[in-house]
Amino acid sequence: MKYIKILVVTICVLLSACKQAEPLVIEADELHHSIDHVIKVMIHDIFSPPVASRIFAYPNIAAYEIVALNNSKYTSLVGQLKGLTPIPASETPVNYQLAALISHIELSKQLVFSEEKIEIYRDSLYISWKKKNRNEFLNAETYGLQVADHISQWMDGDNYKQTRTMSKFHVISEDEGRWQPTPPSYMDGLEPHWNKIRPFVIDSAAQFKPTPPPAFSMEEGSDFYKELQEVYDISNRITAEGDASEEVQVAQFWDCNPYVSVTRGHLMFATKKITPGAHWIGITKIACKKSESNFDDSVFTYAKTSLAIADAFISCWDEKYRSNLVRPETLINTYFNDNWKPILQTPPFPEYSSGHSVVSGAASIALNSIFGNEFSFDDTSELAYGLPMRHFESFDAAADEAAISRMYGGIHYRSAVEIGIQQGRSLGDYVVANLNMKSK
Amino acid sequence: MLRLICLLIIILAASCQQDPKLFNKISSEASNITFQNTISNTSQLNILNYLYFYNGAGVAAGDFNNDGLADLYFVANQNQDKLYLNKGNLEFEDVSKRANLLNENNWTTGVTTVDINNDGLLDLYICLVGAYSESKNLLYVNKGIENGIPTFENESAKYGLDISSYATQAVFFDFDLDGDLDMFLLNHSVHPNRTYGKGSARKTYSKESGDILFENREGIFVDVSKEKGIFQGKTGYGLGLSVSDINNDGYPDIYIGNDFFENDYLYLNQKGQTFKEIISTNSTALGHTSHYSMGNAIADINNDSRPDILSLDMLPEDLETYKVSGMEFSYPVYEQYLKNGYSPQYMQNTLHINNGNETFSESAYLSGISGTEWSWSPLIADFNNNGAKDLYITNGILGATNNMDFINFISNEKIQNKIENGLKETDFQLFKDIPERKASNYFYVNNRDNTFSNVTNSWSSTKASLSNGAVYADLDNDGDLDIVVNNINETAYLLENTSNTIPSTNYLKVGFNGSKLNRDAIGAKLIAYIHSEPLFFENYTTRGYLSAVAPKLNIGVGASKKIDSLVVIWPNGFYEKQFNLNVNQEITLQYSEAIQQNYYNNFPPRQESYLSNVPSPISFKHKDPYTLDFNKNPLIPYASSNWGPKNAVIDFDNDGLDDVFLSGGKSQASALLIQNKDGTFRNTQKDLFKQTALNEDTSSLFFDANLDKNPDLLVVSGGNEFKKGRPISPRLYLNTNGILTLHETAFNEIETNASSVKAVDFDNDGDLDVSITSNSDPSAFGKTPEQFLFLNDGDGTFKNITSEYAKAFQFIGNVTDVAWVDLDSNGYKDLIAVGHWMPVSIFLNSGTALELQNTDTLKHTNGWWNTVQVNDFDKDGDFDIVVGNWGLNTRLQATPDEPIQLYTNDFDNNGKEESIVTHFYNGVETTFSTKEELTKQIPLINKKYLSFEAFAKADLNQIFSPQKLENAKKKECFELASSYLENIGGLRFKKMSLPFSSQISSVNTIHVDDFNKDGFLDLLLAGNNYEISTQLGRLDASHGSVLLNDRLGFFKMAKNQNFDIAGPARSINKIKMNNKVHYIIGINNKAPIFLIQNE
Repeated sequence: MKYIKILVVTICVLLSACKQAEPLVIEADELHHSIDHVIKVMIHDIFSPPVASRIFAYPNIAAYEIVALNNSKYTSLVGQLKGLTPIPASETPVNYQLAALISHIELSKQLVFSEEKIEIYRDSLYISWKKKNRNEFLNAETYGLQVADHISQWMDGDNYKQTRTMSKFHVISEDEGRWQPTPPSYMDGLEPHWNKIRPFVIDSAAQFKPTPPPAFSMEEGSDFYKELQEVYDISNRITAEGDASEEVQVAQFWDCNPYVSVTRGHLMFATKKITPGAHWIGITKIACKKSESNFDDSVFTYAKTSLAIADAFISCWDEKYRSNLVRPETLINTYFNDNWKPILQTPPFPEYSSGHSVVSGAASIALNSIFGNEFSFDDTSELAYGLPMRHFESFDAAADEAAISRMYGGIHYRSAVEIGIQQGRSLGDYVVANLNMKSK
Repeated sequence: MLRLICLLIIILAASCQQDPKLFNKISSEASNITFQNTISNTSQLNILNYLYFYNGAGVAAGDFNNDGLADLYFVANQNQDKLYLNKGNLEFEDVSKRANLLNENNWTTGVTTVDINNDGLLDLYICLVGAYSESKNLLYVNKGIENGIPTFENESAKYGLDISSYATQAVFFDFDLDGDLDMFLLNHSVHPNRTYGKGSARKTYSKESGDILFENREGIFVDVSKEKGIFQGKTGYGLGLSVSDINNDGYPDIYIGNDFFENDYLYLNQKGQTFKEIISTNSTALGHTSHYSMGNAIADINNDSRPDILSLDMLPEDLETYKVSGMEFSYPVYEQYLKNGYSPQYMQNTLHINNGNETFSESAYLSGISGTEWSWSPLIADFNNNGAKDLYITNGILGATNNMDFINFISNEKIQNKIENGLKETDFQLFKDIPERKASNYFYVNNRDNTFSNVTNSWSSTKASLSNGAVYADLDNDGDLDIVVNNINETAYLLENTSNTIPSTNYLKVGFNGSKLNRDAIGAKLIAYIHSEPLFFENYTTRGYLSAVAPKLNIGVGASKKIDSLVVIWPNGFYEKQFNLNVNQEITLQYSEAIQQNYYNNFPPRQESYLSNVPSPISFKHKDPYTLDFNKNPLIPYASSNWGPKNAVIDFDNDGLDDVFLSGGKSQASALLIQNKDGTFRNTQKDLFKQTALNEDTSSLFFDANLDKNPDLLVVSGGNEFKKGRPISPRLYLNTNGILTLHETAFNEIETNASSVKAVDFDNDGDLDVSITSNSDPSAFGKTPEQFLFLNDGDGTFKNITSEYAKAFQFIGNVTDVAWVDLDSNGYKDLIAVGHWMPVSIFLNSGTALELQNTDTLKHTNGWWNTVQVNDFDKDGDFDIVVGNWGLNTRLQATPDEPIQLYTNDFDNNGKEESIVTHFYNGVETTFSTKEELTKQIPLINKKYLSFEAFAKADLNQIFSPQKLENAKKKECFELASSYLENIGGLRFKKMSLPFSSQISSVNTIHVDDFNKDGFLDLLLAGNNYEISTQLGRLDASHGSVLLNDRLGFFKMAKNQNFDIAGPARSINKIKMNNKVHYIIGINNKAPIFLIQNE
């Protein structure tokens, strides 16, 4: 009988021990999953590449600021990013990694259109955390939301809302060197005022203004004409070689067009893909996983890369609407072949410089600064969109390929690609040199 | 009491009964017609590889067995066609097999009836989408009737009509008037690309898609398309085909409706030699056409003996459906499209009312028939036999591929990967995800004033369907037109017309016994005069979409027991007149009895017109650069940047000849042109005006500013671009000995985006003072600008006294025009101001101040007024007002209860105000801007409503928040009709909408004159605006209109107007040239138009 009593007591003790909450451990994978999910929602909602870069940047900064406040390895971005003020400190001890992830999710939700798609994802996570450790979760949630709110207020001052009401891009149709809407959907020029968005690290949108493209001229033998001819020739050659040709595969791999309008029979629809920024966020994830980066290191890597990407878009878009250059498709249809179609669909904004080139240049420099420039990896970011894996020996190699892919795709001239990637790399160097994120 | 109860019971019983409808649907059990056009996607042919998979098929009516009863031939797209013989009493029998009609080609489209060999037996021409499978169009020749059953054999090869193409339908007609029937074959493109490319692609050649004109050369049909000027490009998405003598010259013309980005084609027959396509060469003759053109029909809808053109589109009448559908390009992109070689087209049905001078006024919105859902067959016929032609329109689409949610969201998730890897049968499920859009077929009754009323519910038992081909035919020989409809995946409809049971409706049926080579007299015209009203018909069998009617005409006569006279004009121009015909009978007209003379020579069209166009004696052409208003603000309904030119006429050099000042656009110098004795003009003082070329001059005025008896010139500028500086300063040029010099200081203190300038002696001190108005502030749409009143001190110095003399006028609104007359007979000129978002406003002049009058009758006259004229039109001793407005021919309507409203507020809290314009549509307040444009400006809306469907269902308060709307600055418009305000005494006015021709477009300028010399003042109106939101179309239907004073206090449209004020007219000035009265019409962005007043 006595034993029974003891047994009962033991069981009770054990039971109560079971009831004691286990600590919540947040791994890097949970961050990766969350970012993957945000990317899916962004694809659904159809965000243009520049807007997408903004959606990546702010949640990553929020998460990073929480990590930097709690992990002495990292330093805050306050004083380094325009207008960013210190985030509040938590009043109670908090699982800062959980708070960082929560702030990331909350800000992402604010930035996309389909909030409920993030909410469903968020709630399933929250419920499981709450079950495991109610108090720890609630503390982290309160704090994470506080930080999200802080970053959100800062974000509100970046001129995004104001640029919505600014005037549309004025198409100067009398000057055939200027950009015109392109087939098949003839959309308005996208984000003509993106250079008015507050940059993160660079001084101003024009800081990395590239040299101008070759002067427009349809005289045979002029530099511009030669570049146009080259796009047409490459396209004809690789089209003849067919879909299996290396160049076609490269072009398709790096297409990264969030909205490709397709007509089949009487059916019109859009095939939707990730943006160039999202592709590099995907590479960032691959690098983090391969290097087995922990949660904090991954947050840092995402934050640094997304800052480079976001500023790269501001810089590139500044040039696009300055040089306002006509796309190859418009000219080739007028001068060479009115049935010609580029292998990739021409995106709806001026040609120079190439967005993918600038962004890839900047992102690769940011990643080099973390993983070194001999970091080989298998790029699987496009698998979900039916494209194969590609292997790269380095981030530089991937960036180079991304840049030249735009020529293969028939949507950019050589200058836009070659000068574009330089523009991106110079900008990347500047970002890396001017950001002090690791404690010395 | 008992009586009362009885009455009540009767009333109740009656109300229980279903209203009898004009049309009874005859069940398939009763009629034995079981045909249905069953279609299903297959891996060979489906909506993904053939874009017209859901377009349906045709039906033909004709007496194939010569028993006096019209039989029916139904086309099946994928399955077997059917011939049903009419057994009487609306009973039919399927005899397809016995008749040897076994077409089951996949894919069959249109059918046409013709007696190809003139043997008195009706034959059939069947169109196939044959280029896929190398199958060829069929010519089923009727080889004879045995036991009441005709048998057919395909002889297409024998006639040269065995064509393998993407055929839509054919029409037989005698284009060269050589007596035999030629043929036009309408083909369509299957080129699945929506990329418009260059319009010049229509001049290239596509064997399968290009249309073909065949000339009948002794029984062999020879392709003469190229030499006759027929477009044969791969961009011809031909879906609609009609033939009619549009310009009444005796030679039949052709109208082709092209789907998608390609223009429609109107081929005017050049006396059989060639065809001249006028839509691609003259963008003003028809103005805009339907964008996604489906079936079309040509018939005289207003009994003026001129055939009018109806072309159907897919504009949803339902607001929610409209909002989830793909809409027009934004304004800047649309402009690019036009520059690529296209004429303007908008998603709407179009009704081109024939003005009789090869110009047309598109009036579908005003006529009440602009949107009828996804529409296919238009039938224009007098269904209720009252003497005016009504409409029947078939509707419905199995897969609404323009659903924006499907395009952006649904399709993506389901198709994205599959489509690249090739579709399998199991994937066809996804076709079911394309939203089906069944709709009921519409009936419209003709209101006899160029408008129609929807009587769908009272004329038929409605049911949503997928209906395509349709024809009318008197199937039971009771004198009214029954209707047969070919449906997708549903049994064909047979609608019995019961008009014969309505008392006092009479008819006359007319058959033809034509010439040897055209026995059915295809192309014959009929004019039946009833109390001098001509009812006009043409005998073509190709009618409705993909369908064909019998070669017979049914004339609805109304209550009249007699037809006063009946004129038949045979295809070659020979004619016959018969008088006093009895109604309710069938007659057969005999070609052999015709007068062997040409009708058109004997009765040339009447050409009495008060005005006629004359060539311009000057080379000046107004140039106004592309508007930036829509770039600055895509949510506005119209731009305010194209207000000029407003010219001024005076005998400047006092030589007895009128001279003219022409105002230039932005960066274009205005010009002073002095008339020479021979009626030519010389451009003088060019350098003077070059200095201010940047100014967009919007109004000008000659007046004696400094009392030196020489006319001085005052010019004001606008353009809605410059916010300050010289380009918007008024300029006074003083005249010294015929030389103008710019006055350096006059009016220097103001800069205004001006709309009008007027001279008036408002203080009765003997010199002319000046009013300058402004209708817009370039910084924000709808913002109220300042108005100005300047006092002349007698020597040409002007002082701004607005705030002292006319405080209420200073910020009265967006003033476009003013008139100065002494309304209250106190000796001082009073001011009448009109403008946008403001009422017609009266300021009485006491001699010391202008006081705004609070007049009850004008309270709710807020309009989008453009111009005002004041005169004593009814000769009752007081002043009446005529005001030009936006017109009634767009999607927008406005009343005091359901106004157009402008809300200005910072809707998204970004520190900048947005302007949202709403209007009421079927009682619901809604924006006219697309979701796409709205969310670009206010991304917050995408957060609330990412899907188009959710957006379409949301009401305005949900979208913009009630507080934001409540706190917004508001402006309202209650009236869009150009109006006559009759002064009924005591500053009270009776408002009347001007007649039809005044409402088809904006009225921008009005000239008052006695055109018919009857002592009563008449009006010349001109208008049109091109710079309006692409969601509202374009205002281009006006070709100028003379309104005659009816001496009873109102106006009526003058008939036989053969002049043409083409394009966006801005001003009218009377000018004497060669001793004759002329008018110079200022046209925005074009050369001025000169009219001569006929004596």
